[in-house]
Amino acid sequence: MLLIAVRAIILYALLVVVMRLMGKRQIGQLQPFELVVTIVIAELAVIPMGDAGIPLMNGIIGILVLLAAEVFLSLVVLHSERARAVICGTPILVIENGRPIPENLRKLRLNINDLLEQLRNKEYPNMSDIAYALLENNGTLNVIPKVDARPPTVKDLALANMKDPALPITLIMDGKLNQQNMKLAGVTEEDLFAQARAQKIENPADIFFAQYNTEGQIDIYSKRKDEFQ
Amino acid sequence: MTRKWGGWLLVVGVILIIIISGVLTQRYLDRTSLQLINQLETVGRAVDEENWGKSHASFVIFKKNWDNTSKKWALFTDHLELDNLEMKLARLKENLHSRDKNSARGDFGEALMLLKHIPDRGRLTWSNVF
Repeated sequence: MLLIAVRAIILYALLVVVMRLMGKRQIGQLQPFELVVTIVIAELAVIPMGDAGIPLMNGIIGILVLLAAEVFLSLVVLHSERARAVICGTPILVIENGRPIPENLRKLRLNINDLLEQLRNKEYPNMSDIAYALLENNGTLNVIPKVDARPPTVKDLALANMKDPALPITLIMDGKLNQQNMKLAGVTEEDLFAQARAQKIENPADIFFAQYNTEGQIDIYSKRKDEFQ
Repeated sequence: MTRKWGGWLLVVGVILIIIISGVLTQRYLDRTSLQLINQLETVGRAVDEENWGKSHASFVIFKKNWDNTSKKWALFTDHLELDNLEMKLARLKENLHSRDKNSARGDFGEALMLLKHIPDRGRLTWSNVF
């Protein structure tokens, strides 16, 4: 029992490290070769975790080899455009100027119902509203609507005095002041606490979360229960 | 208070349950296997002396204890290993019945090895972990 628990902890810790080393893409949108690695790694960890008769090294070595292979392929894909096309594939156009492209749909084995479903999910019920739709390598459909079907932007509305947003920076998280982020945002403790007092938070220790927002203002949230209501 | 510490209490509780039950299980396996080994060795000594009446009587005592214990061992040990031991014991019983000393010695040795091996297999040691 203890043996299985210790083996499970070792493999869990190794998987956390390996997934971290594989990078952020591994946890988000997966490319085909990354999906394969993720599935195989889970299997390699689970078998020695549950069966104490299998050496733990069998699982550990397999996982480390897959980590190396995945990092190697990522580097190849990063540096070679040809390798990228072979390993990851290329995005394929499925709708052009409001009309589906049947030969590409056939190539992708994507039927029109699935295509329409994905379009509805993206809130485009009419195919005629779409200028281009591309099926990306990770299986997501990206839609570029025609000009009369897309929502207006600030540029379309020609609004004056609009500024680009500032980088949102967390100043206090879980009651802890982050000095590095304070410097980055150019906010002093005096400014922050003055703002807190303006919100009737007298004690700085009562601040739960404070953020320098995209408009250059400081948002402060108190730990007090009534603040959340 | 409960909400704040609930998650930590759950983690600590699960860890404590695993550690305590793991230690108790291993102690139980060690204690019962030692008893069974002593009883089986009595059978082995009787076989060496070719005292078939004594070996049969000792085997009956051992088998009764083993039947009781094996049901509990099945909760936390590999069933395949228990089945292997059962097979060795069935062969040992037949060889005692036919008074075949050489075969009985062989079965006794294998059964004894398995009895020692089963508790060792679940022990928390470096060689078992890796």
